[in-house]
Amino acid sequence: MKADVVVIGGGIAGRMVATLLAKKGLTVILVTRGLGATALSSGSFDILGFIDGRLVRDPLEALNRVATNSPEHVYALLGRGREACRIMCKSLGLFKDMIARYLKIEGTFDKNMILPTVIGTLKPCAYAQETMKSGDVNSFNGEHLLIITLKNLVFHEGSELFERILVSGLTPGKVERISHVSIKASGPSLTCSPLTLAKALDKEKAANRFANEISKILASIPGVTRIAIPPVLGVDNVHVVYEILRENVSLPVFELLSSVPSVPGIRLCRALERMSRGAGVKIMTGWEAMKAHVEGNVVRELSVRHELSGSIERIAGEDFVIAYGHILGGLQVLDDSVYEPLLGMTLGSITIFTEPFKTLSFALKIGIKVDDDMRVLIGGEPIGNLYACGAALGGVDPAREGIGMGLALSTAYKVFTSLTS
Amino acid sequence: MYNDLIKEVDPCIRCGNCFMICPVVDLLPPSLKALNLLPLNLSRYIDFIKLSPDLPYYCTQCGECVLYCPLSIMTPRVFLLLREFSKGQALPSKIRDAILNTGNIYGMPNEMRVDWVTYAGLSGKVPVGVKADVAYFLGCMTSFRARLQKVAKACAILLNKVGESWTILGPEEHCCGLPLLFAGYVDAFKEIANRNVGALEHLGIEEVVFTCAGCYRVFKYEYERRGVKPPFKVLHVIEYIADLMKEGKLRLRRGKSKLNITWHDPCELSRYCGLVDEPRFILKALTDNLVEMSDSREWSKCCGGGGLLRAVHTELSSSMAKRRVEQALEVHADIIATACPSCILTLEEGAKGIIKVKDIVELVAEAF
Ligand SMILES: Cc1cc2nc3c(=O)[nH]c(=O)nc-3n(C[C@H](O)[C@H](O)[C@H](O)COP(=O)(O)OP(=O)(O)OC[C@H]3O[C@@H](n4cnc5c(N)ncnc54)[C@H](O)[C@@H]3O)c2cc1C
Ligand code: SF4
Ligand code: SF4
Repeated sequence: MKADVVVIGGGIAGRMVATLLAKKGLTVILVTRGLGATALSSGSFDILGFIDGRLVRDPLEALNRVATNSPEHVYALLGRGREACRIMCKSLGLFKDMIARYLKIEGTFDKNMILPTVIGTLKPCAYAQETMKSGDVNSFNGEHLLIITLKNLVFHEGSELFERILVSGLTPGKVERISHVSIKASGPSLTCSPLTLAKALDKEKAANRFANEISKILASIPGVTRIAIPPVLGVDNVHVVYEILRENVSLPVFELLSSVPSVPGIRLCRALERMSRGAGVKIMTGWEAMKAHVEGNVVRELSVRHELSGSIERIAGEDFVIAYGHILGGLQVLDDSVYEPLLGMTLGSITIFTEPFKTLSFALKIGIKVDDDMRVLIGGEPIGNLYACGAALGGVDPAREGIGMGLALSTAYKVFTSLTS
Repeated sequence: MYNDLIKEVDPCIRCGNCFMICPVVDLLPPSLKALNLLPLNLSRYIDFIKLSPDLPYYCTQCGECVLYCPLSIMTPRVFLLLREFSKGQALPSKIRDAILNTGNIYGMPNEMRVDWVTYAGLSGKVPVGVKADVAYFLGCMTSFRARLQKVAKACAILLNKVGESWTILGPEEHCCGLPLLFAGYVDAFKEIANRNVGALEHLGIEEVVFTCAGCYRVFKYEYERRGVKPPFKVLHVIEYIADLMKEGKLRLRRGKSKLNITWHDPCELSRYCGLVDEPRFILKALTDNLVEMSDSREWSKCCGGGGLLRAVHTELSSSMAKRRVEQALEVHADIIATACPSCILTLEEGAKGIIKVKDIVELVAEAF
């Protein structure tokens, strides 16, 4: 097997770089074990949410500052100041257009939305799936919020959520009243998984029934101004489902951001699969990259193993891109250090703190080191044709810093530009 | 063994993805649902197995959860290990006895493996147990079940059409052993692997062709994994047909069909063996209207017929089949094409005549 470029990892970073390259006319093989962190994400696209625990209002301005003042920050890889901002805007813009056929995302670069989650927390983010945008509490003003929960769902149970949202610190004045109704959405069985329910709603008939049900409820609760729904409004057909809902309900209605497991995450992954396949990327699903065969300072081949059958193949390529995620992906934790398996290098050792979260946060900072062209460094020297992007670069704690897809997309785009320049 | 189990599930981060997408869990009553979140519940599970030995059979071995697991935990393998704990379960042990005593899962006299030849009206046209280049390995289901004997017939017609030097093993064919693996009888599996490989070697076979997805996977990967390396080439008939077409040795008439055909990827072929392009290549030669279900290729949904689920929890298997058939109806398919005897029987039951279920070899044989 052979391709111009071999991409390792089928999360958002790998799909982005593979799609861009395929659209340029290169032959691309994408090898992926399956799903990773992208599938667990909540539905938002985070550029920068917090700096030192403080909420970031303007992510682009904050990115400019970080990339200028902190050369050791992973965002500095994009370039200094405005250059970093340019790459971020370009990558998100391209991505938004490429994925639009399969999934719509909305937002702006210069103002973080503040979106409520199913567990009642509030999350800053620059972009989000279109179904979530009306949940931006920045735009709330004395709302009467109706929270709809779904009886036939095994997760996201009703009343508890309701309380948590109440105590989650919605600024007084933003929400004046909260009502809560629990209904049974049309689903195949009495209690089904959120994904099954979302798939059922993909059908227009079911979506219409659901919308009617909500209209009926609205008739019995006067004064509602906004409606929150668990994130199950379809999987592959979410745009149509959402249109149906909007037409029938004629009030701002939004999905809450998800916890794990996440329908919006899986929705995104399915859209990514269609986007990259549509661009002509050859996708090898269920294969794990095991070893990069290096000669001199270039990678010649990659050994991959099919997980369920155990069979082994070698793939040759001109260039290789690591996009296999962090420790929920290709990086491994071995004997208290973070280990890179393809080249067999230890990236750093983990300090164990008494609080587990601190340890995790520390581990997440460790990642693959790259040069200005995003080429992987071994002992300070770059490998000529091996690049890295996405969560594999480490350097951030996504939850604490509100950095995620934005980093994955912008570094993927940077790899693309290095590879094609 | 307990240590193997713990090692397999140790990295689990409790994200719940496996739980969310497992087609079996989704149909279980709430009490059993929680328990089936296996990596989370391992120790409790082991206690419960003592009370209810058919618990580890709530898994079709479809492998979908492995793709959804960020850490690639092999949950189906965990279920298999757990089945070794519960070997006493009545039905799987009955199947084992049948296989070891008669050579097939039905406990029928093994000589009856050639009866289909007469039923198919192919007397004299199907070589049995002769030296040849190619052997067609039918598998138990295709040998004995009336519906599937039509698939055998189509495959025989295909092999004769291309003028292959071929044979079936007849009474010397034994169950491939997959049900033994599914039921946790690893030693018996090895014995049967040796017997089958020996019989094929004895006839100087160079290539073995399969219409059964399960037999194919076992010959291709599981025999060697357990120390029995087949000295011949192992091909599923979809690979065999696609190769013939590419070499120009087989021309298909584009079907009479303006019919919409959808391809149901059998787990054994798609997820376990990566055969997703070949069937689509063949079907595109047969119809202009190849339609894809919302879950397809490696991300296909199990029909419910795998992993002995159908044998132990029959109703559950039927409910799964119904769901899969609904997916085919959603894309307005007239025919569900597939290439696995278990998928055919299970889907046909779920289809209740509303939609046709056909083996791809049957479609090919109709298009000469
Ligand atoms: C629970 C959770 C929630 C999050 N929520 C958000 C959010 O709401 N918004 C946001 O912006 N960010 C969020 N993030 C962060 C964000 O999800 C990640 O930063 C981003 O998805 C990383 O993308 P990636 O493509 O680099 O890696 P991943 O998405 O992890 O993809 C890695 C891919 O590589 C594959 N792989 C791994 N090893 C190998 C190998 N050896 N060979 C072949 N393939 C391999 C995996 O199967 C996977 O497909 C969240 C993260 C987590 C963990
Ligand atoms: S292999 Fe299939 S049936 Fe078994 S646990 Fe995984 S998803 Fe469920
Ligand atoms: S998908 Fe994997 S990590 Fe997530 S709960 Fe299941 S076994 Fe654990």
